Amino acid sequence: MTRLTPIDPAEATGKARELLSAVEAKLRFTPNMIRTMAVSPPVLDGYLCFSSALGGGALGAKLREQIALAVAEANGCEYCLAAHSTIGKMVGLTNGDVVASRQGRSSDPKATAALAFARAILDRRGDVSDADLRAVREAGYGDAEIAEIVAHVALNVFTNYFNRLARTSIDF
Amino acid sequence: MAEANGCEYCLAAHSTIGKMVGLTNGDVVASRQGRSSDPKATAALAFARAILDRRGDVSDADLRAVREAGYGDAEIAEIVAHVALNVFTNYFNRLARTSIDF
Repeated sequence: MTRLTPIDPAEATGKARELLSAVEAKLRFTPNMIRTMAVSPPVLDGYLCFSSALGGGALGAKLREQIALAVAEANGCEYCLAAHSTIGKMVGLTNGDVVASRQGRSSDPKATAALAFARAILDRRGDVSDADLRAVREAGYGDAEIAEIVAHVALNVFTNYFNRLARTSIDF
Repeated sequence: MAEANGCEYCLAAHSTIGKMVGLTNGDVVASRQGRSSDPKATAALAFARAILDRRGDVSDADLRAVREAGYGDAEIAEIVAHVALNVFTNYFNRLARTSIDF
């Protein structure tokens, strides 16, 4: 039973309608999380802008989904796990990758280092240890990528908390 | 949020910005403890703390309390978003050990 009622795109008006139409045009469907965020157009706008901006970053599509899976697992967000399992496979993760990502691991050691770092950020609320920082730099990640990993953790905290609160119906 | 996450940079910044937008020193101190002289604001702060402490999975009582204080779905969604925005800056500044310039 959802706690926030999603907006029906056919009945949306104003800024909500504009944002929902843009998502529909891009994805060919409007996920329930997007419909629910539309109860506050600034919230939906903020999420879409943040997500889109990070999409233009240095971390690849697969790693973005792997981070999303690792953070969703840690935060216990069923909606996000479903969504990022599906999207992850669309961008080339295998079922094995999906399962491993949820545990913070990957068959690719460089990706594993990023996932471990993301988990450290989450577990320590950003105050990672010198050893954490050393490990992620040794894996080949520079300052820009480190900043992006923090941002991805935050983006996923946003959606995890939102969907856990709203009890969004899974549509993935 | 900054108090709960232990972010010194954010506490400094938001104390300054808070006063620029009209908070008193007393408001700033109280906000750090999740309280306000305004009961409606206190309800929002309590709800924000519940979101943070329970990673979004607030209790029925939490939801009832914030709705009874007069907040609707749009504002509830905004409070989640503000928690997330501040988690972003708190985690970032704690990782980076950003020098305080506020």
